[in-house]
Amino acid sequence: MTNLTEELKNRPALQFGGAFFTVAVKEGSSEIIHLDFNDDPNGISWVIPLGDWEGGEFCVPQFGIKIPIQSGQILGAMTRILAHCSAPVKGFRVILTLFADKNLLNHST
Amino acid sequence: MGYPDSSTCLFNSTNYSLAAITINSLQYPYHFLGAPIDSTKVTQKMEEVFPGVIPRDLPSVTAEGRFFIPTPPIIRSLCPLHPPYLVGRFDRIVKAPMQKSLVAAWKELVNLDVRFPKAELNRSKTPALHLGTWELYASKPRITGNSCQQNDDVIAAMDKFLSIVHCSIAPKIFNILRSHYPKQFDRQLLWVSNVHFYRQCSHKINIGPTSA
Repeated sequence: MTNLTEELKNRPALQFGGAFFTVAVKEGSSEIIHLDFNDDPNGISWVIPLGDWEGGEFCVPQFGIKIPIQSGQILGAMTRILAHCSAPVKGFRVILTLFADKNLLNHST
Repeated sequence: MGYPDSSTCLFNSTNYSLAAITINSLQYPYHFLGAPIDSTKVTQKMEEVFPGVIPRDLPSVTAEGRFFIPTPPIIRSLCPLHPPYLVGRFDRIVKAPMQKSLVAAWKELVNLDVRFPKAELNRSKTPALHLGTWELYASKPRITGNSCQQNDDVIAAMDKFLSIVHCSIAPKIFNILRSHYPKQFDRQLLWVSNVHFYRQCSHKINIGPTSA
């Protein structure tokens, strides 16, 4: 852990106080249904959309619904067991997905 | 001290899984419990179980306010580490100025010569940067390659973007975890308490009173 400790002292912006450990960030959407296999099975991933857009609902066929996420809202979901995708997006949207991977949590306690 | 491997709850115990499936087949999304399968099989399974369903055409829940899909009580009794909600939407968390700052910092970043990974074609046409710390593709936690295999200008812009996430988003998630997902909160804080750099740095995050 020493190297990581030293690296993070130089890059404090890369740590998030335990709220989450990794930020996936991209523009657009993930429209193909998928699972986040690397997530912890009992963890929550957080989705935060930014920008000026329409659509992009969080689709969960296992529940038969899609869930809008508007500006200012955040969505937490068990994305390791919920197959999910985004509805198409019109406009400009940056999407942040905040998570903790299964290995990191399991091997450090 | 420490939590058991979280997979012991639902994934290593056939009895638990069978009980959950039998008792909660209408409520619990049991379809992908167990070992990971490749993305093609996820699609196949969805088509098999939910034939003809087009995700974008599913009925929408309300766009306003909070929305929760709670975990069935039987699951929580069988698996103490299971989050209390399968899905939770929280409202009025990311204020408008914060949104503007994040978007501006993102645009500043991507206008530079950022090295993006290839898009993960099993989910999206557009690539994502993975920033921060993880333990994927390695035997111990490390800073992600996307975070550090960049030129100096990109790293400076990246840190500016992530500083906003660090200062404005992380405390919000921290408070939501504390108030709504106490097991997850405890587990993640345990990780933090075991790692010196987090113990040193976490006090710098402005953790205010619970607002979620």
